[in-house]
Amino acid sequence: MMMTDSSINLNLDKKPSLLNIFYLEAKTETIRLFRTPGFSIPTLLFPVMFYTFFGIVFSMNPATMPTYLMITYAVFGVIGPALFSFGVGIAIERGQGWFDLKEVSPMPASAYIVSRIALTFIFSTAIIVLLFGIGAVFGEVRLFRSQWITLAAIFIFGSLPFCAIGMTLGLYLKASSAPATVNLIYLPMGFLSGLWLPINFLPEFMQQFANLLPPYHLAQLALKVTDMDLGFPIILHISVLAAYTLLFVFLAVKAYHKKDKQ
Amino acid sequence: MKSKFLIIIPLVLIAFFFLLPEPEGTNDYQSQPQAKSQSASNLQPLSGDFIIRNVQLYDGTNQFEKVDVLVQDFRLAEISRVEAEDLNFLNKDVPEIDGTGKTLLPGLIDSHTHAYMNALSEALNFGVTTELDMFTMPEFANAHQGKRDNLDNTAEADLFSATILATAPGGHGTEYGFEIPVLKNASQADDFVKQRIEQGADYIKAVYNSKKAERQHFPSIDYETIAALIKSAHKHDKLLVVHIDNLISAKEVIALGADGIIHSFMDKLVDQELIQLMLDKKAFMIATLAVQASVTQQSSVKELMQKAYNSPFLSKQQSQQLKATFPNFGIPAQALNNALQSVKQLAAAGVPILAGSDAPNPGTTHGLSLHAELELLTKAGLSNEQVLYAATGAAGKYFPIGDRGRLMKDKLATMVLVDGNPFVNISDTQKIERIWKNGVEFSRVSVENDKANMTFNAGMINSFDQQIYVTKMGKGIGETTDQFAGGKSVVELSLIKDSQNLDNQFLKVRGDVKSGFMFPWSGFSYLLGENQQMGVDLSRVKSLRFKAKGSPNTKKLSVLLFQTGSFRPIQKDMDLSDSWQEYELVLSEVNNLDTSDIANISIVRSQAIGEFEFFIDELRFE
Repeated sequence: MMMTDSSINLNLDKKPSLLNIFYLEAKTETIRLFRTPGFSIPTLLFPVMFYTFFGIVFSMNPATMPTYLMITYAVFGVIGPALFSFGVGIAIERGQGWFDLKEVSPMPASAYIVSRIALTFIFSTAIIVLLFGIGAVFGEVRLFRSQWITLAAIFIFGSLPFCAIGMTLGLYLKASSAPATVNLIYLPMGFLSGLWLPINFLPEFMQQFANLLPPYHLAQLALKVTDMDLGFPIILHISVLAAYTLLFVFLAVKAYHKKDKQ
Repeated sequence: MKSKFLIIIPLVLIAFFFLLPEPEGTNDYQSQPQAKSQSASNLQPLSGDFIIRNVQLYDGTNQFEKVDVLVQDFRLAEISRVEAEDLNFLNKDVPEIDGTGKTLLPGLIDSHTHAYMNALSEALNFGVTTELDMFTMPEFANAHQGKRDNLDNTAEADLFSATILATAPGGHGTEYGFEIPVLKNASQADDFVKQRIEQGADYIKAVYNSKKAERQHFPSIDYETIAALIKSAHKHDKLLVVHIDNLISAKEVIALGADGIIHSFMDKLVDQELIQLMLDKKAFMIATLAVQASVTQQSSVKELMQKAYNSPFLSKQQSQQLKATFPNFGIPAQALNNALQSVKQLAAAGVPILAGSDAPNPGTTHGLSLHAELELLTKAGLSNEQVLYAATGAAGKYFPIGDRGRLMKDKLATMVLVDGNPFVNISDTQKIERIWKNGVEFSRVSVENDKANMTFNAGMINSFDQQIYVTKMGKGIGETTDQFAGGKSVVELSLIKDSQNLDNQFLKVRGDVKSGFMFPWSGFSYLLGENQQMGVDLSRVKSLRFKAKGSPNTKKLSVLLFQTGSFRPIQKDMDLSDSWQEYELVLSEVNNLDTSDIANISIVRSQAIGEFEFFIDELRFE
């Protein structure tokens, strides 16, 4: 896969800049996604719509609910593009043969991944801006600037474990079943992790179960910024997220090599 | 074009984050989490590192005679015996406090309070750094429970709470005028416990009186229900403690597995059977001798109030609470001796005793009453060390409150420095020199007493000729109904022109008193001071006067007089007629009214449910 070296570049006067490749790939991917409203509209709209309903219009406690749910729906929002751009995206491109084409192209593999991560970040930023805006204007969420920025950073980088999960899914799933399967994982996982309603509204055994789910840990991490978390140590949440990332990167690499052998 | 976008988009994002709103002011609740996320560094200017030299230390379990203590970054960085040579902080360049002749204690823990209003700051003012609340409204509890893990929560005691207690319809706990969920039978127990946990209860509190008990003074949940509550609480990993006031009830709940009992019993002396049961079950007792002394009219708290080291730090409200007395329930004086003796025998047998004040019941208050409790525990016959343990290490051992109640290396420095040696004289816990909460020194507050109330003279309050809400003196007039406390009554104020004299207008108060709250009311209130916490001196005023007229469905109204900080008014009822009459309420004739400290006068309808209409004019002091 790593075939970026001189043999390919023989015809060029100078080496292409890696950064430029990343940029071009990310740009074309972004344009592609924005031209595919089937992806961009739901990923942007779902969290915004849910948050407006549960967090603002039907807020049970106007003092804390808009802040709490703004954070959990932002988590919900950022894991969406991560799972879909990687999971569904890779599966479909594999199905269409586009993935193979890209593999044999001189573009480095890293560009493929980096561009998709960049894409996830761009969508995450859009979702964060939308949710923060709605929260601040309609939900009267008031946080310190350092808190706003810390939250945004947690959300953006917190999407990385889900990129890894999405990548694995994309490499295992068939193109036809990928969208449904990813949805079947994304929506229940969001609910069970307490992203739709505060986690303490769920029955005890479901709260226990949430411990196994990465979105729960990302949400707890973010809720720590406003002191609305359940009070478990930061290191626990970070460890679980890191463990999930490593596990799924490992699985993705395995899936990738398995695919090669087929 | 391309590069322009790359610059513009980040700029727009930066602008967006700058436009996001920040909280106003720095004291409101929203701002608290901020400091936490920035952790210790943010607190640096508030308090630095320091050493206490040559002090006697009680760490919550053990006593050390002469130690040096280094507090660094809000934590106990070093605790070293003075004799030891290898003191690595001997020459630290930090301020030093001479601890000779003084004792350093963990922040005290009051294991039984009812926290609301200023309870937590009043507690901290007397070195009580943690309160275990045993019944308050979840709204109050949640607001403060949320702060307890914040490093910068240094102006009030940490709160743990049972939120709403488990009791029967009409049982103990329902008499305070808050509508609370009650238990009719055992099948409701599990849901009740789950609801409490959802509402943030740190543990569950139940009230129980056995059917076999001699005194059946209030309805109680039955045996099956308390059994189910205990089972459910344990299933959810929560402690359950039970309010009891007699031996037989204590035996039943301990046998059922309750983690602790609240109050010593006053009917009988403890017997060997209960002692053995409590030892077997590892159950504890939260002794509340201070409130039991008050209920048997034997409280010595008035003496404590006068002590020079206590009196300056009592708020007006605390003094009122301490001066208040229970109605005489006819409990024999011997009952307190039973309570004292039982605590002594339990402690001697090795049953853990925790210290609780049950503040702010009449005759007790937050903070000072825990010290009163410690004196009473000593009087009962516990050793001073047992008594200090009851208010520190014991609470931390049996309740899930983290390291509170201990002083340990690397843990937060929440502690009290007292002058003297409470191992010799327990009253020395009251000689507080310094208080630290989370490593930050708390300056004791003694302001309220020095500040005299504003004085009002006779004069018109509102003639109602121009408008309703602004008064000639005081903050003004406003609508008041039981909606404030969760009721459903409504009211509407309007001005009516006098048909005989067009220059004169009067106030029409029309509304509907609806059931839904124990003491329904509806009417208007006249706030004298800036707020309910700021009273006004009316001692130069003879009486409150006004003209009033009733209507066919309104033959009576009530004047409610609120003392500062009190939610329980003194009520005076007046008969109305269908024509205008002049009414006078002579303030000096109102029983139990401190005329120098009145915050609010309300004129309301409260006698009967239903629609009402009455008229008021020329409201004034004479």
